[in-house]
Amino acid sequence: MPSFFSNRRLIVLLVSTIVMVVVVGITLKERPQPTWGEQFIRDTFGFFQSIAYKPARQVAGFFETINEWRTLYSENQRLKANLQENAKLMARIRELELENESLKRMLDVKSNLRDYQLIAAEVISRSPDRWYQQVTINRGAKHGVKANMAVITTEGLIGRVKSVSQFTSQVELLSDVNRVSHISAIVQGNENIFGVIEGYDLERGALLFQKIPKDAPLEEGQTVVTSGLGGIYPRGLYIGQIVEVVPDQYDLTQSALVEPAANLYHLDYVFVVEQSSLPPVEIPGPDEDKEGTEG
Amino acid sequence: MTRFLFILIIFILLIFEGTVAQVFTAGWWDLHLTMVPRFVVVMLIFAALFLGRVQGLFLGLVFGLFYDIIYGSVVGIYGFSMALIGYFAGLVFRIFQQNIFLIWFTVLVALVAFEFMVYGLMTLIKFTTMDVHMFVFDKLIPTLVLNMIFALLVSYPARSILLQLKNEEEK
Repeated sequence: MPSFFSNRRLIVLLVSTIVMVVVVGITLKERPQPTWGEQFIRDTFGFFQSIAYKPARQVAGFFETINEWRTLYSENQRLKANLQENAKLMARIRELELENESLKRMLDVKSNLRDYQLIAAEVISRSPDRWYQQVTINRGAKHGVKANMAVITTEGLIGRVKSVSQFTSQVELLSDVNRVSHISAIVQGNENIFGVIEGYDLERGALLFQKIPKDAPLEEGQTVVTSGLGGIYPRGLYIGQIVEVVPDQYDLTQSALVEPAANLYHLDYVFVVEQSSLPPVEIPGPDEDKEGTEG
Repeated sequence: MTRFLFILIIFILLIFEGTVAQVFTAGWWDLHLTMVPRFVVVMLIFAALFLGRVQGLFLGLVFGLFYDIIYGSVVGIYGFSMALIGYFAGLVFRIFQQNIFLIWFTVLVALVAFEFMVYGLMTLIKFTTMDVHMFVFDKLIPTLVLNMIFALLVSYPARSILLQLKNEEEK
């Protein structure tokens, strides 16, 4: 058996360790536009991934459907009740929208934080090691996706576009611990309760909603939405509900745990939120790592 | 020809890990545990055991870099880890090749070493804040169970392909 550390091998090992540290150091920062080689590899694999993912999802969906048959009756009853309520709400919303429109015209408001367009996309793969909480979608730069756009499902916000290739892009989920972009959020219905979502509690599976003013009336079950401040996300994207209010470390502010509304494991169709009405603004990031990011 | 087939199998497994396997993992069915499919790494260890450390090293490096680019954002972590695992698995190939139980044992040890190495590197660059206890019980053990089942299933076909490949090389 050859010895583990002969002189030559030791040197090779040391050199390759140094090379690894250098490469990791170079690629560690935010890279909204990866090199063309990486883009090419991601797009090529994306093509095969999209072929493989769809049938698998359909098979899984079939088993789920069988599972759902058991609860079908009670669910149907509940939905019927909701439907009547919905019709009433729709009428009211339309009325309010018209009123809102006319009031805005009177005030001459041009830009609207709430305006956005959606790019429909399909999830084609997910990072299997759970260190990276990210998925790949089948829409890229050619379809108008840009870095840092918000990504939602019909249930709520799930993350943001991290890096864009020509035909695919990588989406960083809310559950990524390393998420550098903090989300400015408010509690719906009360404009005074604002804070920043800046982390993820692995054990609870909930987002950390922090820096909320100390005297704000926080309760469990309140709905948290994006505030539109900060320029990355439009206003009013549904994030989730508060599940627990926790006292802050230094008692200067409050914190809460927010459970994301969207199921972050069960992703198939998503929407990339294209914020069209805002003029592009350069926003300084939370730390120096984000300097390369283009808003 | 056999070499081409073998590399194609690893490519298919690489795509399989991120797509089909994701649908059938624990998370999709709302379980707390994390099972990480490491089928590429298992095949890599097999390859290193039969073909030797140099081939293990280069296969590991190439597929590790692919893994980094497709499923991650930082280049180098998997490239380095897989190359190292391939190399050290290849170091023991002369002793363990004969006995299938020893092969399984090598795969197990190599997988544990690999998972700890990736966990260590991820902690080092602050990509995770998971503590060791949670890592071992929620992630490492379920991952090992899944991948050892895979290793048991593929050990005979993989061995026959690799032995054939080795014979072709020696000719």
